[in-house]
Amino acid sequence: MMRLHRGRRLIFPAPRETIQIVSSLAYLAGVNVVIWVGLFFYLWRLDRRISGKEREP
Amino acid sequence: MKATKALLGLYMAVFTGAAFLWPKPAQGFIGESSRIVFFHVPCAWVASLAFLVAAGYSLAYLVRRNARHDDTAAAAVRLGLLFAVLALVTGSLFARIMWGSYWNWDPRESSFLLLIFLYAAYLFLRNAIEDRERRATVAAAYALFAAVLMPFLVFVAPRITQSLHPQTVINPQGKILMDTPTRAVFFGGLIGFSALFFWMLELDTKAARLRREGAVSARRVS
Repeated sequence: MMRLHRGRRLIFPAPRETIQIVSSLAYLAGVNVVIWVGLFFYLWRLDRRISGKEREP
Repeated sequence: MKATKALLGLYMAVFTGAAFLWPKPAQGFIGESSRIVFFHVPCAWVASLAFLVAAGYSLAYLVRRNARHDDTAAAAVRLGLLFAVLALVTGSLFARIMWGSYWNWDPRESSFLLLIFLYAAYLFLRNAIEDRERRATVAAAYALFAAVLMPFLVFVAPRITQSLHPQTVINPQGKILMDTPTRAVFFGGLIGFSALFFWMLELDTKAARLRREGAVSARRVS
């Protein structure tokens, strides 16, 4: 099925190779987001611990 | 400040997703390899920024003799080295895909490796001197010397020789050759990585100060 989308031809359903590339990119993006979120929470906890130590007399 | 840090977490998660899913891969590169630019360039940029920050705080230490400035300079070098190694690793992954080998002795690869050695020597130098004040003074002088070489290794040496490296943002045409999504993610990444660096710098500096003050009070007790 062909559709018109903002003046460009959109092929639907997308060819198998396109779906494979997009799904592997989405997988990579997901893995990287999880790594980033892990790093963020590590830094957040570290920040809290250091701030706590600073407040100690 | 907490809200800013939480926002940074969200911002970087969105940036990471966008880097993989929003811009189309650049023309002239194999597959999706061009996407590495969104991580590789910010790492190299933050490394350069960190070494400049280290130079600034080293100069401040030599003028004011405040130990906190020395803590910040050392933390900036440590983080700069971390980001420089990440830039080198991401660059090597790109080189493997585009040029068939992880290491090609390209002028940009070699000059960046020299930069890493230059600043690794800073840490060796610090560890070699016991006396705190002498260590801080010598390290500050060395950081200033390294900062003079740094722009040559990052910006000049790779540009005066033939290189396999793709054109950089600062190119002979004087134009940013990117489409809008690529430009948005690219500069968004530079901002996000810079903010991340300053947060890590704050943490490392505070930790170093706590260690130093802990060591001083322990010496007083004994």
